[in-house]
Amino acid sequence: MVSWLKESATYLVKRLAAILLVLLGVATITFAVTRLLGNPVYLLVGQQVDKEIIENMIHQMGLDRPLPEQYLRYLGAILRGDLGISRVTQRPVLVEIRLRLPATLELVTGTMLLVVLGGISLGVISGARPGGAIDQLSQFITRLGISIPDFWIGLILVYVFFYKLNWAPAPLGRLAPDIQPPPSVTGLLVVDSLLAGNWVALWSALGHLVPPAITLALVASPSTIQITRTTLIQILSSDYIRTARAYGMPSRTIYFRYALKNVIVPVITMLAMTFGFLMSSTVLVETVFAWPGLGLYAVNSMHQLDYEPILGVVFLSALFYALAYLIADLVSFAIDPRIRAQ
Amino acid sequence: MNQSVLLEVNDLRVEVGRADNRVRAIRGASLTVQRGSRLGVIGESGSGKTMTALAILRLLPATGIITGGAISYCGQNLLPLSESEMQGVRGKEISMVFQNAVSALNPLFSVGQQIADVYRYHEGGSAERAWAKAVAMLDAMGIPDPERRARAYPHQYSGGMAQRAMIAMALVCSPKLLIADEPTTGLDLTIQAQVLDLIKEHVQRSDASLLLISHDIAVIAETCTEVAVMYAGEILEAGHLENVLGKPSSPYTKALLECFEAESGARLPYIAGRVPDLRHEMIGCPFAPRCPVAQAVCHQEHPEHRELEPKHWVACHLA
Amino acid sequence: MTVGAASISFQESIAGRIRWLLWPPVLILGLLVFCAIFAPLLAPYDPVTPVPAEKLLPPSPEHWFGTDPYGMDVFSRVLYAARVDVSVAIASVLLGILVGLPLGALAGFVRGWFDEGMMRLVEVMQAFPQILFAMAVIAAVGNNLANLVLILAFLNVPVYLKMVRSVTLPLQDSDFVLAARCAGHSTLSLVFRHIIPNTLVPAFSQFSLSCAYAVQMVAGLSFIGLGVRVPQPEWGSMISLGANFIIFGKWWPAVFPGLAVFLTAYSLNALGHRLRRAVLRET
Repeated sequence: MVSWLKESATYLVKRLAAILLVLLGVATITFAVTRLLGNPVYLLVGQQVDKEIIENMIHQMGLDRPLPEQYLRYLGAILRGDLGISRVTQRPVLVEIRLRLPATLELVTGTMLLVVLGGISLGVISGARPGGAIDQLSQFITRLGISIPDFWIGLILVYVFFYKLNWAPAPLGRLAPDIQPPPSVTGLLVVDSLLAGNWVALWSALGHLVPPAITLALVASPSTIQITRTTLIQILSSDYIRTARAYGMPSRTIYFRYALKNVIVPVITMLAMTFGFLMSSTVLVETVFAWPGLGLYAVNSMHQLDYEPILGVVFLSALFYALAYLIADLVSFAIDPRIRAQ
Repeated sequence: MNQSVLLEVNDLRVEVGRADNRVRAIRGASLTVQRGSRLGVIGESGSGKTMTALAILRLLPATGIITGGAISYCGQNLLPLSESEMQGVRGKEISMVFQNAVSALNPLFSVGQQIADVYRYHEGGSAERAWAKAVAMLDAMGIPDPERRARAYPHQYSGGMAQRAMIAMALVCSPKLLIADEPTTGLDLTIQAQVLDLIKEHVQRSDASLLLISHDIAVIAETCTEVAVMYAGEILEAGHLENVLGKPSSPYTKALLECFEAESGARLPYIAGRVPDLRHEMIGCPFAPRCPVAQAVCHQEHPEHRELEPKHWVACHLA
Repeated sequence: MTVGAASISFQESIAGRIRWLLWPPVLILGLLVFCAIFAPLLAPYDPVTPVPAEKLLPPSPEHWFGTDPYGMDVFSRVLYAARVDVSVAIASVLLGILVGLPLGALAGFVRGWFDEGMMRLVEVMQAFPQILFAMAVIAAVGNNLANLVLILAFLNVPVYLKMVRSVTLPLQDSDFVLAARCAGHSTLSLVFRHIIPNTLVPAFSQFSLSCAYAVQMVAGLSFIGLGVRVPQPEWGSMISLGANFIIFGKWWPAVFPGLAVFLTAYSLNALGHRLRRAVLRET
């Protein structure tokens, strides 16, 4: 028992160290991009005409200090959670991000739900019956999903389901403008509406969530479908499943007790990677559906030449990615004894 | 039906492969396993030995079907049995041990758990009882510190130890027939001897029978009481070990034995030619194209089984 | 009966080639390149002159793809845009290969701290959110096409670095390397003259797939305003222009350019997968 705890602790520490290194790398590269490429003054201070104001701001932001010192201060700020100040609103970037994070989180969660339910089901059935009708459907969705631009299919969905069929609401954000939002508990409108018993808001929130979630799910599911399918095929033709069959184990035991455990590790790893990928790739879909999340915030900031928020969102996305990987690693560690052996 | 016969395979025919590439893997193979005896099946790779074992347990790959013949166990024909009835047979009446035991075990479950699962499925009872039985079996197979080993995972086992664990799984429900498909291939020579002794000892002790498949005559000579010689999907000669190895009648058996009896320093003997393409129907004796003493009739007519002495028959025109 | 080595007749090999050329993805890509090169000859209208009187006309015999909010013919603009999207995508992938391939070969061959360093770098680069990073960099260094190519090339480097490295690793112990060393070749010369040629084929099979992704990235980035100035025809910015009018039912300004992106990416992906399967069969 004790050795197991020691094993797990060592592994956890090693993985955390690796993540911190990656985050350090990300911070360093974003630092390099801002301070070394382009004109940092122009980017961070904005287009001021008055030379005195510019010099003041330069001094205030520490841009006149030697580069290594700037780097250390930058790292220190990030560790404190200080991601800078938005030039447009004059509020800390962290505050602005916290306002918009729930929207993106809700969108990504909705998408992941579709990927897990739809993608894994398709992958499992395709893997169990390769070449069958469901497998052909999976291959079709995969070929579509990897080639279709998400913002374009989002627009098409808007055209078909809003304009033509009137099933979906107008793509103007998370809630119809005339509906009172529920009291904020989690920040996720669907959950909060449910908690408040506000069925009108729930219906509206769902209606607004579904089209962008479907859009993202279409481009995000191919990897999950494929890994589930391929892994299941490998497992079902493996020596150890042959052994289980040779000893009379019935199909339900083989599928739900053995094959399921063998398939989980690669699938969960892929799901984690998908989550991390989605947290940073909602930019275009949020733009199309006017979804007030981090992606739209980054785009608007870019158009307003407000630079710090973009960096803040970049860093946060990298953080989510790293965390997702960590969770995937821990799950693999818990399930697969061969990883524990390393 | 003869009470002393445990398993009888009669004129078995099996086809495998996709539509455009269909192979007649087994074309009329017949063999008999007596109660309490140990039959070795020897042949080159591709002769259909493993396929025969899989056919007995109805474990053929998805593209394989049994197209003819009969397989009877304890007098009962196995072929008409449903899948769930066969599940009752596998692991309980007839068990199979595979080559490369480490990969034949599920890497995410402990070895003890997998053995206990088999026991619990066939014999019922509580999880604790099944676990205790699994540990006892590992102990009986000579695995030291069986309690700890049962909790270990396949990747923590050496090749020889994993094979012992496989045999433990095979014998846990006391089957009447143990099929071992190349159980020692890939193992060190000393470990090979240990594994074979283990199999022989436990089969004898529980009064069960053994069907041992190998390409190595030494393995079979060590362990078996009877032998069947397989070539191109057919059994060409079968009988008591001393009779077949001492007085081989089929030219193929003779050639095979010559390959194994090479004297040190002499040139290695070999059988000229290649194994026939099993995709095609064959006329006559399958070995005829390579047979040093083949006659015209060998190429035209398929040889019948000829009994040379009790329990020793051969399929050859020239016997 | 013996099965001989591939000995198909001359007619059969010609028939094989023709069947290959008629495969839809190849046809589409051929058509694409043709349109891109001959756009000035094929386009019925001027792609950059606004015609306010004819704005947002639906598809018709005069305007096959209709007109956009500025009255410009969508079909002509889609044709001209092919030049930009395709060349930017190809250029960025090629540049990525140019940098990633030698680095990967070196890393896989030399090993040691250089290899470790490269792998850490790749890990960091792959943790970066691609679109956001492109946005950040382009906003920093200037919004033009050249920078778009550079940042996309940068994002391609880790892919090829990793792939080439994994192809190179097993080559270290091969006989021809030993022979070359015995002949006195320096490490660098070994890498460039002997290792790299062996990595070209797998890199090539990945090339088509990278281009598929690059085309989508280019369109996506220009959709949010990066890389292209407004009147210049480019599929992504055309979609952006048409996006505002979708809710009014004017679907054609956004749908047709997007269709072009989709068909291009689809064909490049199909081709890339075919090539990769063929390469895997050889190895």
